[in-house]
Amino acid sequence: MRIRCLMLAALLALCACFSGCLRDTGIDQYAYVSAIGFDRGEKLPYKYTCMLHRIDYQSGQSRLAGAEIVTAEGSSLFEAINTLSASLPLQLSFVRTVLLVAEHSLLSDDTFLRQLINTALPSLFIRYNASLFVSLSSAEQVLRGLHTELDPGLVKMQENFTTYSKDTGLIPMVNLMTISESFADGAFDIAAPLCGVVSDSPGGMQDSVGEDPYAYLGGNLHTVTDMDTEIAGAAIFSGGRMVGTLSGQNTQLLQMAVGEFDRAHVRFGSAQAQEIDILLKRRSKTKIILSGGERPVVTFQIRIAAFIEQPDMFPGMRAEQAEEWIRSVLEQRYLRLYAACRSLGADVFGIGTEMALWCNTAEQMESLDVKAVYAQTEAVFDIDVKLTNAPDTSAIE
Amino acid sequence: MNLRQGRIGNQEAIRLAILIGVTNSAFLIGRRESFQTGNQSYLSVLTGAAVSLVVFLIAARAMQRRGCGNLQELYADALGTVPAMLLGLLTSMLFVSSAALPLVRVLFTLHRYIFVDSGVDMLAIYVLIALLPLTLFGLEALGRTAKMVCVPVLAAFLLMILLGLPDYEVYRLYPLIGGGTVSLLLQTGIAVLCFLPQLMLLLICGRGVHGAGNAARLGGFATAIGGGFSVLLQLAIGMVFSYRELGRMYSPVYQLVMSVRGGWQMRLDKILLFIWVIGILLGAAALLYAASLQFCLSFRLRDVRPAGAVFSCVCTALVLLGHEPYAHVDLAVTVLLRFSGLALIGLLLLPSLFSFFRKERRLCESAV
Repeated sequence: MRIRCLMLAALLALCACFSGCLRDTGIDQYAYVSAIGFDRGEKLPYKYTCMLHRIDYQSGQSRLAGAEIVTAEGSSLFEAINTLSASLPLQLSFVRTVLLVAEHSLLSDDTFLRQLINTALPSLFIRYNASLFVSLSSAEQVLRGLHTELDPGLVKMQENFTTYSKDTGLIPMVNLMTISESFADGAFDIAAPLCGVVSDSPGGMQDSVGEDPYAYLGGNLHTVTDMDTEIAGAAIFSGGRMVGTLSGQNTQLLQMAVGEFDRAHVRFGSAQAQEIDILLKRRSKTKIILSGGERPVVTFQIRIAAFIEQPDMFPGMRAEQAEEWIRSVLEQRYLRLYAACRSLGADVFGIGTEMALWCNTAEQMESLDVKAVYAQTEAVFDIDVKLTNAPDTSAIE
Repeated sequence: MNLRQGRIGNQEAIRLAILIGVTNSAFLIGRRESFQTGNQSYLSVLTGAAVSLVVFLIAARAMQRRGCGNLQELYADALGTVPAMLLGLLTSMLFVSSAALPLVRVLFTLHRYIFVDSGVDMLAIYVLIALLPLTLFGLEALGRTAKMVCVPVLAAFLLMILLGLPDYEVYRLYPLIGGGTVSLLLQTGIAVLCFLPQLMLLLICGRGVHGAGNAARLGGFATAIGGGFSVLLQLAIGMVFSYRELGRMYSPVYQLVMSVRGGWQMRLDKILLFIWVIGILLGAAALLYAASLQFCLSFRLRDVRPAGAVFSCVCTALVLLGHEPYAHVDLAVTVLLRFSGLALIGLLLLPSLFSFFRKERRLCESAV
């Protein structure tokens, strides 16, 4: 009986394996699309750029060979794929697509994203954890700029972006599942990472909050690297339409408020008007409390630990005074950020998700005008800062 | 006599029942129309499991009281030989449809997300290849294979629940118990279909699980564990997808593993899906075997294999039919989903009530 059971288990496992060979197409006959870039086309409405990888079967190992970039124009994604398929000796597969880059002008209304979510993606079987990036330069340039000698592979790169987002707070991360939920529920708006290639002023975009002489924005950073593409800041949306941008500094605040933040070096203007960085770490999960009434108030309870790496910038200041100074600077910047987002109608703080808790029936949920309530909602930022070192001594002391 | 029943131990029986309950609830609960007015699936699973257990315990008690060794004997004892044959036939048919319904969803998931370019008919061949020998080998082989497969299948579901942890949000469960009582009752009917068939299987194979008394005990354990696990699963799905999103999805369980953030989990979805497929095929085969055994006991046939082979083919045909884009097929699936559970409840309660009016009679131990 034991042998019979083992045979049955083996048979079940074999059946699962057999079903992988329903067609005679070998895995080396596929070209895997790792990333897709979306731009406005010259002749047709859209220009699509695909970063392709192939299985390197000649090396005898199941690994991806180097990337290749191809472009096609079309009135829809399907048309572009058909055009590409006709010119390539390979079959295109989207099962490994992890990155979607959209040029910012495509997002001036919600048509593009809605089409992408509602029609193209369910038919192309792109995974719902694929990340969306908004490009201030052309998406084709961004994809070409990601191509380096290091060639870490896009899956690895996506993982690194997620870690980067958590560890610096300079970019938010958004995937197709979140975008789909945002469209289906309308309970919150998305913030997508911004990218661009090095140029003087890519896309002519500025931070929507303003007042920062050196705003970290993709393509505007003073850096020189092997990769031309820079990623910093956030594109903020209202109902699927891009309505503004946030610099990396403001994105850090946003990430801290929505709980998608572990630690970051945040730039503060010091008392002597010198720029200093303070390392902030999350002490506990941010709480968002929304109280109803004619004038709703949302309270963000943010608990952070601060570590001053340049204590000589605070001469004669006690720990309590430094904590109060950090708290007040953060509060002012938060209020500016909240006011800017609210004026743009972008509920990137996710206040609408708290409104869902008011609803007992689907009718109430459907009739709830999240945007109207958000426009009325005032914010209180209850920030508690604990210094992990005294400002009048160095870290070593 | 080749009924292929034999006897299985407590662990085999419990794990077989858990396996069927969890895999069925993972794939059957959550039809798109169930989420029009809110997500109640986690609650309906709980009520469905509770209703199934109560009905099952009543029937098991009736069998004990009248000294019946299996469900067919209860039918015959309560209603007489000819009505018992009809009830037996109806039970067999409902079991075949109960085996087919989750397979329709599984085949859809395989076709839509994995084997995009292949036809459903090509995939169904592999379902038949798996179902046929499993059904023909009988209860002992099924029970012992379930003993091996159950833990990996549950671990795969648990891994799915853990992978979703960073994305869980309570607000997605709102409106809580949206849809009201009618919607909850309809969904409870579907949940009954997830939990009652395997409990009935224990009664049909009463002698194989050492009598109705032992079956009642095993059924209680299996429903508590399987039901609890299924509630957890539905809560996890509900905290990742809002009811509006669930209303547009075909396979929330698989969508959940597809949506986890990048990295090493990237290709885990297919591995998990195939582990679940193994579990669901085994569960379907067990139900088909129970249908065959019930059919043989009803019509006093001595060999379960022809019936098993026929039911496997019928089940595969039903699975294929479930993919036909015709309105009447969709209607038939909806009717089966909503009312099969109710019919199964009737098939257990009716003879049980009749038997309670009769004098208590116990079977001697040697006959069990």
